[in-house]
Amino acid sequence: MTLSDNPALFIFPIPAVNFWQRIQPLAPLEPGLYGDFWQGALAISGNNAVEVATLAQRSNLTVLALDTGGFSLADALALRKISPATIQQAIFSLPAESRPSQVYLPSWLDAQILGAGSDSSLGEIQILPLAESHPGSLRAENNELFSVLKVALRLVLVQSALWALPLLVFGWQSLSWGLASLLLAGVVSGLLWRLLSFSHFFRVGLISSLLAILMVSGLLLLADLSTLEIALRTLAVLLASLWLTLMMNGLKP
Amino acid sequence: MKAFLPIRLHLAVSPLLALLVGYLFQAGGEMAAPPILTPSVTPFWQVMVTVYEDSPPQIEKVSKVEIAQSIVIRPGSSVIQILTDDGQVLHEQAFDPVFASGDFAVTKLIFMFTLPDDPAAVKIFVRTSQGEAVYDLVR
Repeated sequence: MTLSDNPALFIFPIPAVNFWQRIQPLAPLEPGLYGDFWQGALAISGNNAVEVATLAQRSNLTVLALDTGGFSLADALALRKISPATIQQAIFSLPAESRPSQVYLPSWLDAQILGAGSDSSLGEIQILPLAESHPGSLRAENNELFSVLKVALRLVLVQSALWALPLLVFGWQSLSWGLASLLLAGVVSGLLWRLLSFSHFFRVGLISSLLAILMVSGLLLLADLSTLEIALRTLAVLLASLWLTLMMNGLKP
Repeated sequence: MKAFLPIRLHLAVSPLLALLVGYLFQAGGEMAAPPILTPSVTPFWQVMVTVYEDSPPQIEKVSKVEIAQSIVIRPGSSVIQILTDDGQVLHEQAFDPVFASGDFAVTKLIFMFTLPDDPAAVKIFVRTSQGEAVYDLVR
């Protein structure tokens, strides 16, 4: 949804956030404006419920939630789900009469890359840093790899919580193998995500295939197992990896 | 890059997928550790028989073995049998002792037979053109 689709400039109320949303990196909301009322100044965030709620409450600004698949702005930039150009485009998609006079960006985001100060980009819109209130302000700016790895491991944590009971139905061995598969998929995805500059689905397929090959090689070298057993275990790892890497594309509300 | 999976669908599918993954690991594990099977070995009686040209045969040695060595023997009129207490033949094998004559004359031949065991078997019986021999099996 772009903001220009919404001529009435509808402002969603500040979302309530629960514990489940707080512990995971994915908490998708409808992209759009959030806040109590339109104040002529905008803070930019991803469409992550926790980020939007925190930002709106702490800064008392109207928050423009971009479609980042439910990730926070910092995570979405690290995952390359959005770019500074996307942010600029979203600001320009606002109706002309409702353009903000000020846009607050997290201080770690270089305002220059949005074209602030130049004649051709945001024009009269003033770009201001928003350090204290932004949840991502403590982000290690130059360590994108660490950020992606952190996102992947938080996804592993959440998926492990969801998977633990169903896996336990099939015994402790299934539980340990299942959780280990998720962890392996998380680490490999976190390490390779930014290195593989392909389309998302190709990247998901590539990472999962790589894990499957690793699994087959490991089992062939280290374990004395039948072909069918190796195939079943590899299929299980492949499914776990596909699921986790699909999560890294984000979710819709 | 747009997200394509709604969060509610994700929450519904995730445990189902976990069940499938768990099942695959369990199925793989069961195949990895098969129950220990005792090989079904049928024991055999190994019987050494000396056949004489002009006297009845003699059963020299009988021992129980677990691996049978298959030896092709030319069938003939002589026979070795494994019998029950009431004389019922459980297994028999015909053979043909041929004694060479002339400069390399042979007057006795040694045969090694392998006969399948049976709980009902009590004796081994050998019959040639020169006579018979009986051996009572000891278990």
